[in-house]
Amino acid sequence: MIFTEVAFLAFMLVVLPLYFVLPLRGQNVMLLVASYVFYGWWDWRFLFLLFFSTVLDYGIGLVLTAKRFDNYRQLILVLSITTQLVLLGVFKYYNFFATSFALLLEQFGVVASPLLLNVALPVGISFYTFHTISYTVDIYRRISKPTTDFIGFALFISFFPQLVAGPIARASHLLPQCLRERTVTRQGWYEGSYLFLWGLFKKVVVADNFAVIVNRGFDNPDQLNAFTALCVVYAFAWQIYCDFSGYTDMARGISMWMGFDLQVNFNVPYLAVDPSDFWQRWHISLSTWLRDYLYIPLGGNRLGVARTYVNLMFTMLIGGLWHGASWTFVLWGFYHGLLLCVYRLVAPDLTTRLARSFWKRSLHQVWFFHLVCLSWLLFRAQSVEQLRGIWAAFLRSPKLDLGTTARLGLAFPVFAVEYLVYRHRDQVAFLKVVPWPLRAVVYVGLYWALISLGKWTGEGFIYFQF
Amino acid sequence: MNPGSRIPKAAVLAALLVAGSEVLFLGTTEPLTGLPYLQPTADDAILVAKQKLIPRAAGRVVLIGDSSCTMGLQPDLLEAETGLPAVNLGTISTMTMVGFADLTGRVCDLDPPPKFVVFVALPRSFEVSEPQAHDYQLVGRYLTAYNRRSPDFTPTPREQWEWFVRKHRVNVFPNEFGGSYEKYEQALSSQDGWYPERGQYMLKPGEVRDHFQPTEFAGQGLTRIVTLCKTNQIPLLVWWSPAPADSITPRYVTGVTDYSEQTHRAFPGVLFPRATVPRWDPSRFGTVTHVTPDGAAINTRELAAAIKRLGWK
Repeated sequence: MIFTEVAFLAFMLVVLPLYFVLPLRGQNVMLLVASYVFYGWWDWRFLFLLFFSTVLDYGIGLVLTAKRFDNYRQLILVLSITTQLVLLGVFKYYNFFATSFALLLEQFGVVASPLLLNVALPVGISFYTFHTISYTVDIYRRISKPTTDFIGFALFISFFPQLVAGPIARASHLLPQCLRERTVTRQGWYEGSYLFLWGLFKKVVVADNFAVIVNRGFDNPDQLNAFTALCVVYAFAWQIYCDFSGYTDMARGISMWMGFDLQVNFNVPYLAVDPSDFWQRWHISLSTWLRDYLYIPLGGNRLGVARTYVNLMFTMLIGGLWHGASWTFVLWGFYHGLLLCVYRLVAPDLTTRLARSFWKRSLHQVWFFHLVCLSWLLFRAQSVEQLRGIWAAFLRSPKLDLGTTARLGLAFPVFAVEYLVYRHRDQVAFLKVVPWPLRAVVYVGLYWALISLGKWTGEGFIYFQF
Repeated sequence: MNPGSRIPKAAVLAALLVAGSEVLFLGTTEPLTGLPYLQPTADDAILVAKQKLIPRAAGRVVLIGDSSCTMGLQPDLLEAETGLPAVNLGTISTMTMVGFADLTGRVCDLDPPPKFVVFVALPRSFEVSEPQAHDYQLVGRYLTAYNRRSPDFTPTPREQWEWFVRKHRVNVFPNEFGGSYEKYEQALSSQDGWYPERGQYMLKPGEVRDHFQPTEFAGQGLTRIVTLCKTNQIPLLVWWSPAPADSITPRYVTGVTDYSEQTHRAFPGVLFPRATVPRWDPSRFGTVTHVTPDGAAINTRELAAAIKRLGWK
């Protein structure tokens, strides 16, 4: 089920009224059932996988705090993480590694025909695997306490707004909200509605229209020239941002309707001046997860200069691989790791240095946006050949394409509004500053943009595949 | 829910403005599309433009059918050959027999009524099923937009919703149809509904048709057309549009012949001057379904000759 489908509207028309008439326990049971229906809409068979992950880490959480298992805590944690990673590995990475290994053997003259699994990738498996891992690790670190409320815990893992594409929830943030009485305010409703509408705009008006430019470009790189190739790259940079942040906004909006608060996942990422700044603004829930559960446990920057760079590279490679089982994602992770290392080496305090100089900061922002765009090429390419095709297009003489250029203008209102929100620190502060008649005009504009320019074809979200 | 505040004034004003702008938009636009503010799609453009030609059908020969009719018969030439003024109300195959029957009904209501109706189509228009007609959405949107009813077809809620959404859509009018609706309508109007096909014919893999499979749904539509013409005492003839020789097999042609004979037996008043779909040299085609302007001239002369043979005036 996708937020932009009519089926989802029907789903919410059942869920919301029920939610408001039920007591806490009933709300949780109902939301759990709704979340399983939402997830099972894609393929009900993967519900067993979700349920297994839930039961496993619910049990592990309790065992980790049991006194008689004190001597085995590390072993139990390893068992939990290994099981979750094995599940993820089998469904997401097995075929990739098996074929890659076979290709490697071929280089040495050994012909291998690996046994490949004919299974679809369970939607959002990378997201809920990371949810469960963070829960057990936090309990192991004694940051969180396990819950005995199975329904509440199962809801934390499967809460439908964020189940398939995040934000990656931390137990310390979302679990308490699943266990205690939630307060739904009118203000929450309005803010949630604004976020949902804005996310919907970003998805169906911007991302799905840009997808047409991007798909045509990547499918026929031979027909591109330097100018149109650049348009395709820009279009993808905004497509992926509006697709993913649009989903997050909608997920946060829906959650607010029910009194939940999900983590902010984006903070105007294309205003970043360097890679470190970028990762504090882009997919914040993943970058902080990788920092807290991978980079820091590896030693972070505490074990010397050389080890810091190794840790950075390794973390970003895993970050790349988290997105998908493909060498292009590994390359994408490697590229971002390299950027982090180079900037750390050459300009470690860039953000501080640029804080007071608007023009210098702007130049760095533009420059770094283009570095990020390069990474999106790696991210979007489905094969190395496709990547070469796009690169080759940059060598052809440019020809203006005013139609495509005009369509790219759809990114402008997104950037403008999000920049203003950023300047006012958050959504609420921004909404309070804008005079109410102007706000009304903006809402009308959103309505007309949605109905006149929106693509209501039920396109999936890019991050569902991860 | 705890009362936090009243409904924001901005939301109330926005709702009023949305409702007001919708009333204005729906009240001042053409029923099917967002014209004159928004450009339609090419499919919708032909329907809107042909609606405007309906009054011209009074007292004339009317050509109704799919896009092979629009591109394949020239009213000016037909008049020059037969002395009978004509108008081409051919639309598009996705209008399906339901849409063609509706247009027939509308011309039958004219005063004076048309001299006679020529139903022009490729056999493939007789192969459309009801689920396909719903999938195409065109006839469903057309019936919804113009508040028309068909005993053979009821638009689904999805089609009604699709009408609303597509009416609001911003489209870029295709360059091959003149780049703007206004130019396209002018071109159609100046040629009494004929539009030249400028494409380059190329048979795509999988486009060869071997077995003619008329559907019950199309049969119902044809029956409706026949009944409408009979009730209004307007003569009707069915004119098969030609197809490229490499796009249909002899077996397919035989299937169409059998269908023509069966239909003529069921409705003796309906004439088939062309007993089957003619297989023409591909050089006369711009696409697999449309003849070139030269092909249209040949097709029109053959129709004129058939009308003269029948002695219809």
